[in-house]
Amino acid sequence: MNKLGIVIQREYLTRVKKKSFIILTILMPFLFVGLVAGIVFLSSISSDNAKVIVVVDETGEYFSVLKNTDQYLFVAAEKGFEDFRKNSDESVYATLVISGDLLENPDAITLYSQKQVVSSAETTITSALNEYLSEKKLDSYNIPNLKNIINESKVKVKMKSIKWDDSGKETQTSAEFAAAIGMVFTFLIYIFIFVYGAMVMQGVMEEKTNRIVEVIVSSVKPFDLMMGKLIGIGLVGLTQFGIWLLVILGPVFLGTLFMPDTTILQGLKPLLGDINLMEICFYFIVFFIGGYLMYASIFAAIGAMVNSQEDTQQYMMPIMIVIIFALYAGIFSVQNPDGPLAFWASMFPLTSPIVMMVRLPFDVSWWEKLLSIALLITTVILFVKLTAKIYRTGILMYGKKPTYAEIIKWLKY
Amino acid sequence: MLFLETKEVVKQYANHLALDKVSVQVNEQKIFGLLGPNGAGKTTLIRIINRITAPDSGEVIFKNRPLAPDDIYNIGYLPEERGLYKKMKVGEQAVYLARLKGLSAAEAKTRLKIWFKKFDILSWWDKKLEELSKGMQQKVQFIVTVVHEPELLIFDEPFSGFDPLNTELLKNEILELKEKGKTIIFSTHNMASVEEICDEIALINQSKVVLNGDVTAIRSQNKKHIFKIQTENENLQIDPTICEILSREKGYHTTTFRVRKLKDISNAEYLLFLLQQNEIISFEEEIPSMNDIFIQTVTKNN
Repeated sequence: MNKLGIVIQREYLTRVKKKSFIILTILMPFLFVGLVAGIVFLSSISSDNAKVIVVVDETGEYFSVLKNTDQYLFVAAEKGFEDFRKNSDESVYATLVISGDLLENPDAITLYSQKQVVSSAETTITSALNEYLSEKKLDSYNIPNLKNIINESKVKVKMKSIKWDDSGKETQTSAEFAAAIGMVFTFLIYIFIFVYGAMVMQGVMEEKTNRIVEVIVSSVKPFDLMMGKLIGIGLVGLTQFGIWLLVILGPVFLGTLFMPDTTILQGLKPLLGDINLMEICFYFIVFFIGGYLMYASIFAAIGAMVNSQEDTQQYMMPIMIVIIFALYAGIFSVQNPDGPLAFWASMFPLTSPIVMMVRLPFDVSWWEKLLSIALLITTVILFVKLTAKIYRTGILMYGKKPTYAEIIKWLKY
Repeated sequence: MLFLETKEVVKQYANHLALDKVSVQVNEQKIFGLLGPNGAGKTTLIRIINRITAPDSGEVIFKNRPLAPDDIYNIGYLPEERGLYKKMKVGEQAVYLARLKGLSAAEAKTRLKIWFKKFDILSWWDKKLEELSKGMQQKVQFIVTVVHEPELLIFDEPFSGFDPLNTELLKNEILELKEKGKTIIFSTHNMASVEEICDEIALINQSKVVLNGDVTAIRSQNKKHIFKIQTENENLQIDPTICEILSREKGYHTTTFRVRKLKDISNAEYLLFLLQQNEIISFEEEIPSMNDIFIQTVTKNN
């Protein structure tokens, strides 16, 4: 086996065999689902104690309109309004004062409280009153059957969104679902680039700081050592992705095979529409490889330049900013996947691997994909070449941190 | 026979000249000591021989032809700054490093097991490196250096970090390698070990070779013609034209004198002169230690 192969093998096997990798890979999908479920669950439970809102209704007309909810308990005041002003009774959340006919005088209602009132309290009260008042007003017109007429006149359009493919065939899609898929892949590629890029940097630094690099480069070319590391760790990332794909899509696939009529699967089909998950996975792999190699080579260069973890910060900062910018560009592109931000960010190589993931579920024309990939590959080749120069000098340089001027000198060697 | 030779090797770093036309000759089956103060350029020269860095000019001749990329399989290198993967299992990484030196996985494993047994660390094969003591790590590093049985071995400060027991073990290993016909380049500050095991040396100071040749020859060339003479008498009868007494130290029954020979005569003649007038118990010429020669040459140069 050639040297590159031996290096790749070590980089790959030592990481894949680690307990932490195995556990994390298996647990991650569950953790992710658990996290989302947890957030949904927490936001769905309201607090046990409904907040008490005392109502001082001078008209006597409106109190009955305010119905108790899970969050708010409306209580008729037994004392006058002035008594509540100084009263710091903890059990009273707010005091609602209605001082006149709201139809004639809509300002005659005020909510007082010691604390800033949350907006849901305001909307609960106003929407209840608005509805009551509208009906009252309608009644005051004395037109028979007016309510029915109005109800009938409320038209709601039920629009289906149907996409035409090239042959004019119709397929149904759900824009939200497409966006969700895009976001999942965007986050995935963002996390992968960060995690595995950082892993490359750690690996390079480890070899440099414990000086094993000197033993190795006496038998392997520095370029092979660097490429071995990049490829080996990249394969670890693809392995992880592959396992997740198997864990998530495996049951779905088996399901379609053995129980094609299960309701869940029937439900999934129209959502997916013509979003070709296989195609997206393919592009994910292409853009992951490109984006990973591009960023990991920058990280490798950083690892080769520094002597300790603390020194990395200075060089990491600009790269972090670019990656985070790419993520935000991706998130905003969901709103308008064909807009100028989405288009340019999915062409610019430093952001394209992340942003393109958002756009893929919304049918991107083939030349855009091709151009984006071509630009990415060109950048990868350029970056790897530049990194190789920094790397082979950097790994044997100990002592002080190199200045930017010195690094430029290394590039010219 | 000349095994390795560097010819006018020059290496310029950004701000300083690391090697200035350095030419050294290493004979086959000899232990060659590469000496010099810190920062003299020893490590740079070793890296050039290892093909880790390329010289700006000059060339390295290996077995009568220019050094080629594949020659690195024929070199074992123990760098001054030792390093192995801390989190990796000892046996696994030894096999990995041996494979990078061109051995097959199976071959590497068989040979390594033999070495591990010899150094009494076989039970640590499946342990992570960080669990080993420093001395054991050094042993692993040494094994990794020699396992592919290269013809040329380069040891950069091999004894640093070893306890006396392991130093002895390592010294014997190095001498055994020489017996087996290997050529060894040995870089060190430890002058006592140079006298003990080196056949030839080159002293590099400020990027230049300032002294080189056979160790015994160098030491006798640097002789100052000072002798230690022990007599039964308290006084030494001498001819002031050929002898100068430098110091006198009285013992219980005897007296020891340090004297300098002032005339260019052989030691035998000189002793004859002294014997005529004195009852001499012992007569010994002081041969300068490598340590003295090192300090003397370097300070003179600076």
